[in-house]
Amino acid sequence: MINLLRILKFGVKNFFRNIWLSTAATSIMILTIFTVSVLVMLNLVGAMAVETVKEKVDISIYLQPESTDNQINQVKNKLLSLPEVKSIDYTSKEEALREFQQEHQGNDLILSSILELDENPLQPTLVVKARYPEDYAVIADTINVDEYKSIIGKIDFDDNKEVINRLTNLTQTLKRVGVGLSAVFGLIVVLVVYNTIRLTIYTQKYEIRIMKLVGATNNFIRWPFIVEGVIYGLVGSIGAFAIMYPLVEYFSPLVSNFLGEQSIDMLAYFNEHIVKIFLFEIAAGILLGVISSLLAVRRYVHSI
Amino acid sequence: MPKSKKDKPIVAFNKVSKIYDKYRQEVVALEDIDFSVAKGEFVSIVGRSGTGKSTIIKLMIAEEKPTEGQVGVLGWDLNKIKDRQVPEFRRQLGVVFQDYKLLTRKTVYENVAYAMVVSGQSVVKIRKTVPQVLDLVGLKDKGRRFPKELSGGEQQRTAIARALVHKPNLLVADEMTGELDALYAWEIMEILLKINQMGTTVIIATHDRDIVNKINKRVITLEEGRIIRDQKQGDYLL
Ligand SMILES: Nc1ncnc2c1ncn2[C@@H]1O[C@H](COP(=O)(O)OP(=O)(O)OP(=O)(O)O)[C@@H](O)[C@H]1O
Ligand SMILES: [Mg+2]
Repeated sequence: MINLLRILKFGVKNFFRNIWLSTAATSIMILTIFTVSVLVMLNLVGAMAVETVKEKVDISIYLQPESTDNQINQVKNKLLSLPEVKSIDYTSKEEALREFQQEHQGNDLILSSILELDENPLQPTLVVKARYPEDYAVIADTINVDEYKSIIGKIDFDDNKEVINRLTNLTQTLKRVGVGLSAVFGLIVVLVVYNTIRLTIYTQKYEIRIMKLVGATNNFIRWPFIVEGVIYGLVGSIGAFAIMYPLVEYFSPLVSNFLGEQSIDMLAYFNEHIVKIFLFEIAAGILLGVISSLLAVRRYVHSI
Repeated sequence: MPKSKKDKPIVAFNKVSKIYDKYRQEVVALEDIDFSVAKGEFVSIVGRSGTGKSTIIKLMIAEEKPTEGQVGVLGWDLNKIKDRQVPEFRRQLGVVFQDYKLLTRKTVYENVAYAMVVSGQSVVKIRKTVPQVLDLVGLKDKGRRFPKELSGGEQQRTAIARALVHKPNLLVADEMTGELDALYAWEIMEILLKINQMGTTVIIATHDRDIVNKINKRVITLEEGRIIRDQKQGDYLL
């Protein structure tokens, strides 16, 4: 216990011994963890956005009001035979009218105007949900043939496809860029911390020699440097977290607007997972710090 | 760990050679060194510069390994000692050097306590031991000074105090009086003699003719890496 405290004390001393160098190492650590977290965060948000939008995507096929049940069933069965189709929701003319009436309850003007017509002007619709967003093209192509021309009025699906494509591309790019950038930054931080600790070891050459001569245990000689590495990681991750929070707060509405999806709320997501994110950053920082310091200690302390 | 028994020598060199590899050029520092030191002895190793005195000390404290032959110290086989065992071994002996090797930013007290701190001793034990050893070397009142506020002799006494905190059975000193005026050097020597009288085996490597002649103890004389003389109550003859 007392030894643990002493080692911690020695490690903290190491950190403050060369404050400029420590500041530089810590800054790089902050930058790295910040970048990695932002990328992870964006990936999660991207995936979340894709899911949200995917759920909403469907093809509405508006059928001509005069189509017979038989014709409608034909289209329906054709669609159901496609493996890409997850479900079909049929709304008949009458149901459409009822829904319409319900929607506009209280608005007498609209209600009476529709009732004045002798025939129900609303179209029966087939709402098709696909298994995967990529399948919508296949589905659309299947029904966009001469055979059905006479019964199908309008097919609605394009808007969402665009959003999905954009999102999917964005997430995939983000993932690739993210992995690449994280690797590069991780490497840089390991190199910087490794060299910083190597320098601490060298500036402490004399002290380490004395320690060895007076019988200091290896733990006493090595662990302070590993503690130093952990401090870089800790301070770095706390720093990264501290700058990340206001940034998320600021960018969250912008992201929602950009995606045109108010349901994608980065800030809410961040708040919901705040503990996880914080722990992730701390763990990443400590891991990077420990790896770097272990490498430096293994390589240099022995030779002194 | 095997502790030395009464009848076993504290230090035993058996046909020891040491060849340094410097820039791919071999330097023969020691050749066929054979000697042993019994418990309670006071031994001076003398010889001209470059004859291998420091090398013997380094072999004795496991800083170097012999090229040939066996080195045994305090019951440890130093040919086979593992890196992780060295700290425990080092705590069983005290080492003092010519350049004191004190930490300039620590006080006398802290320098001495340091050896105990970094080997994981309790605060209670440190508080008890440090004043004792400071008293032993005559620095009881100077614990709060920094090394630069001390004379060379006092700095060396601080180093001796530090070497004694683990209550070693063996004290090894390399050229410890080398930078001191005769008077200070003799003060240091008196401390070593006192420690020796209290039962600690003492081995010193030295140039100091006057001191060696004055104390009238065992002298091992080296020349070009070989022992040319080993006298029970010898003097500095070169
Ligand atoms: N680390 C080393 N690498 C190469 N050669 C060395 C090394 N240490 C010592 N030597 C050589 O070994 C020989 C013995 O050196 P050593 O230091 O043991 O002599 P010494 O008797 O202590 O000398 P001095 O009285 O000057 O301290 C010398 O020739 C020296 O140059
Ligand atoms: Mg020497």
